[in-house]
Amino acid sequence: MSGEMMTIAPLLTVIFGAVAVLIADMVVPARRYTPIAVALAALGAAAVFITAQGGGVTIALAGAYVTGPFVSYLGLLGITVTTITLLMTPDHVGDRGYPTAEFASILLFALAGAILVAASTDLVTLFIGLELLVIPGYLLAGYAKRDPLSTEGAVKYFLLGSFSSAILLFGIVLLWGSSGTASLSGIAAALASGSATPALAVALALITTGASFKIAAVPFHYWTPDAYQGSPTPITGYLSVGPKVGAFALAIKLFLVALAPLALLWVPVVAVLAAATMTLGNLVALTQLNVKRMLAYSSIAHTGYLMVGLVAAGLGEVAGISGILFYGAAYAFMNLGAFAVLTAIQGRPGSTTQLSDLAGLGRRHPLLAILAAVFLLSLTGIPPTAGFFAKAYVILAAVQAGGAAALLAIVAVLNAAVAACYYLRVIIYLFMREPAEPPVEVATPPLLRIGLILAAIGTIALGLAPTLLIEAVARAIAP
Amino acid sequence: MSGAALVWARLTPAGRILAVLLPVLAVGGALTTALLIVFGGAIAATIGANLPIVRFLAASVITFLITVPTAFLLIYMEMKIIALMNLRIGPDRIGPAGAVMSIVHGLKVLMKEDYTPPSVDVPVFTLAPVVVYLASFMTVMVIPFAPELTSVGLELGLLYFFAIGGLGVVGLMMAGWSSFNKYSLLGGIRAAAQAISYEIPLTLSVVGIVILTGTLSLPKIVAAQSGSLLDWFIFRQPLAAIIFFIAITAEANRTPFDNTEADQEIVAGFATEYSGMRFGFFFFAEYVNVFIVSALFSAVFLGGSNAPLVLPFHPEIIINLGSLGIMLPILAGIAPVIGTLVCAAPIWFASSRIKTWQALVAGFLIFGGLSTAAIGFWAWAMIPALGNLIWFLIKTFSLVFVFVWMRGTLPRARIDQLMGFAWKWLLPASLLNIFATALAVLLTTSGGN
Amino acid sequence: MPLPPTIPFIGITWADALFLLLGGVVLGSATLVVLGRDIIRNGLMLILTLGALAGIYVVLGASIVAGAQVLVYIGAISVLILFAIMLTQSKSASAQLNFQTQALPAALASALIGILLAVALGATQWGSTVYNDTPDPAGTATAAAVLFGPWLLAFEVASVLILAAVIGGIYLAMKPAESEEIEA
Repeated sequence: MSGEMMTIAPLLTVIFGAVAVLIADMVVPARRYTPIAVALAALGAAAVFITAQGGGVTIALAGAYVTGPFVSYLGLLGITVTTITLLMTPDHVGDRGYPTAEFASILLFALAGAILVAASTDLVTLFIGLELLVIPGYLLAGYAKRDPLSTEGAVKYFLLGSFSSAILLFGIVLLWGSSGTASLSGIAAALASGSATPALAVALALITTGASFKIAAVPFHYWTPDAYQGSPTPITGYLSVGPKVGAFALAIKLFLVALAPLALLWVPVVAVLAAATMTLGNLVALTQLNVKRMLAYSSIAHTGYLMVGLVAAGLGEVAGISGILFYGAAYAFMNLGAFAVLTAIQGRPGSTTQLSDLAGLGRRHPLLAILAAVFLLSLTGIPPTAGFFAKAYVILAAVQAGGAAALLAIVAVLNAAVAACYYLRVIIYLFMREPAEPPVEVATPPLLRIGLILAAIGTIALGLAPTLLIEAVARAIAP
Repeated sequence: MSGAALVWARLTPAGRILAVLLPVLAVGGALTTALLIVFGGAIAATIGANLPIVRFLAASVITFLITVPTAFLLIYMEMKIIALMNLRIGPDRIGPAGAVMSIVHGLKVLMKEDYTPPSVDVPVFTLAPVVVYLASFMTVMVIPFAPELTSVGLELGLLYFFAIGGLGVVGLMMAGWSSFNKYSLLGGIRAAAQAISYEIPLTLSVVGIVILTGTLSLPKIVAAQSGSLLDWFIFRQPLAAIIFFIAITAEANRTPFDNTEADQEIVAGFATEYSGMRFGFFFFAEYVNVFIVSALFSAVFLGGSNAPLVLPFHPEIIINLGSLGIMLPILAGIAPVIGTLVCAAPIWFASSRIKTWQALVAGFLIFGGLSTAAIGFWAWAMIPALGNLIWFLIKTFSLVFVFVWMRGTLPRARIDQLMGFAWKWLLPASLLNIFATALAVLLTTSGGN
Repeated sequence: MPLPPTIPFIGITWADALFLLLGGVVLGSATLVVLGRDIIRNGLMLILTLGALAGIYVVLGASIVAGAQVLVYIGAISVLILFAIMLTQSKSASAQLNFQTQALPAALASALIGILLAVALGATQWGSTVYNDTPDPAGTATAAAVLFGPWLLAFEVASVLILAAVIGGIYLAMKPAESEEIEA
């Protein structure tokens, strides 16, 4: 295999895997697990390719696709997220009468988009990668197509997502027009040498708006609760992690590479947005009685924490980027785990995810309840879990950046305290309330169990030995 | 009553029109001549300085005017050929073998009441026929009748053709919707579904040819087939030719794909509520479309204006008319008379039963035929464009004949079969054609580098 | 005498005049798309907008983009939009918009954004930008060389994107098979 083929092999493997899933479904139709097996095999092959690249910087296709430690890190993270989602979902959607092949295929396409976002070096490929990442998201949100809630969420997600894409695209066009090149590093060079024009300010505003939509930052978060509540539960888990981490990869590329010379212009805006996002997400989450909706608002809050890392990085603190990367991994494990638990208690089609449904789970299914507690504690940020170190790194980076970022760090700490209220309330329901009558039906099919265990291992391992990942993160951001 | 009024009263309507028109024409002609004499130099200079613009305007006008007789001819062909296939006589009253029938049809359509039903969406209803006809006429502009006779030789001719050709369906949908009639709406929806489905294999089928020729320009594609008969793309891209032919049949809404106006099912489809000249526009556009798709097929697949066989010799006849001087008008006046007499003489001598006037008529006809043939041969030898044009028209009208033949022979396809065929068979086949062509090009050229 | 380089009495070049004319058509018809009450007419105005935009591309020398614009946006996408409207709407139904309660705020916001954009873009000196990777739009060959050279990845991945969207679209539109009807 030539060097160039080797460089783009992970991307190609994922894309061909997505097609192979559908072909497999055509050859042996309507099997629940065959498409999943094919998709997992493709993911395994892609992971092998990424590992075989060894994290070295390689260039393919005339510089349009450049791999390196950053791409390898995000690629492996994306593969992990996709794997856990693939394990969680088939029984949930299968029991409700939906096929698994299209789901697996679309999910792999989304992963290809995430890899492309990470590896792209110009605005055009970046935007197409972003669309490849989010358009499957619209479809997945509406995957339960006979469920009006799912369709409503998908339509809202689609409409607002399309508008935000258009806004982002307009900003990108103005950015290109102002700098004369589509290459990210070329834009940085042009901006560093040129002066800030009014058009550039408009471009910055539009790009910030568009990117904020994609990462669901306040006040561009309106689609999130409905889309997350309506989607099938395991897919909600994916939507709250996959597109978000991918969108942050986009933000890193756009803000920290291309727009780095203009950091003084965008850092205050992003800082204000971060504070608003954290605060509003947590405060609204306090009032939610539906756990899925609560986790939706909690994911908005987590967006805010991630943005703190972006602010720190914008102020020149490299630890900010590593904070984002570490947070992304930790958040992926703990949030997917939490949604896997919710998937388990929705054993019967049509069951809800009200807070009262969780009552007394600790007595009937102690193992599941303990896992749920671990994930929730991690989301809260309690020490021996991944969530603690994630928050710690981000906040530490903000403190090190100093100035207004330190203020932002204080806001983040206060918010973490607020967040503890609603996470711990769920734990109270789990262990200290009488079980609901009739009790909810819990189903943990083998694949879901594997997914749960993977998420739990990730959450605990990153909490006990964060250095494992820290090294990888450090390599990823090394210049 | 004065004399003038008396004369006026005795005139027929046609005579009254003439009586008004003739003086106007006479005065107008005189004025124009005077203006030409006074400002002729300036006008000529302006035209010379802006030749591209003038050429474009002239070409547009000529193209627009050409569409009308073409449509008349095609309508006549359709009536007569289908009649002969049905063992009927067909039109035979007006003109020799009824040849003027379609023109009379056109006049009839002009004189019919132009009725707008009360419930229609008036602006859309009015504009729809215009859009349809405009799309047809604009595509004629890029047809390469001959290398010298292309009104606009666009570099992107093929792309332009498909792009503008796709506009016609907008007009059909406008007509279907604005008529406020279920049959019209069905016709419009069918037109849209059909046009969209068949536009994809249509466009994809020529990609193989674009790969081979490396251009989208129609004159260049024609030039690429200029060698022998085997250089025609119908032999080098047979699958593409089949796909293309089926797709243009559907694009032109011809049998067996004329579901958009299937009269047994949905009255007249989108045109149900139209009458008078607005219906005439639809009717004309349909036949112009048949001509256009035939012309495109012959340009892209049948070598266009290239002759199938190249003559081994090329006759050169040079007649310098100017050298004859004053003798030219005298010859032009005398030659027909002498020629007629010369041709009539043998007949007159051959038999005493032939009357003199009969011999003269026969002689005139024979001389006319001979001189026409001579002038034609001279023109063909001296003006290559004419020969090219003739080949192009022969090919095009052969295809038009095939379309008429199909209409006389084939039953109509069902709409769901029609759609399924496009998506399940034509589209994969055209993709296969692209890949096969690209692979072949890759294999044959990769040896070089 | 050839045509003067600028239009007499107005003093702008012919290309500029054409650009202004087409730009006016784009803006006017786009406004009508938003303000119109009859949804089919709005769709037709959209076609006019896209067509005038294609004209602007031609004026600016990008005739391939213009051809693709007409072929794809007018010939296919707009026709499909009209098709969908015709399949779902009835002309005898009310032409009033049912959910239109925020027209005034929307109008104010878009006017504000429009003015902001116009001021910002008008105040910028675009002439000083040097465009490095813009291809010469002259012919098909140069465009193809750029499309299959530096932009190959974007070009090919765009098809992957469309494939993903088509798969999802077919899934959402597909009639459920018999085995899928066991909805709880």
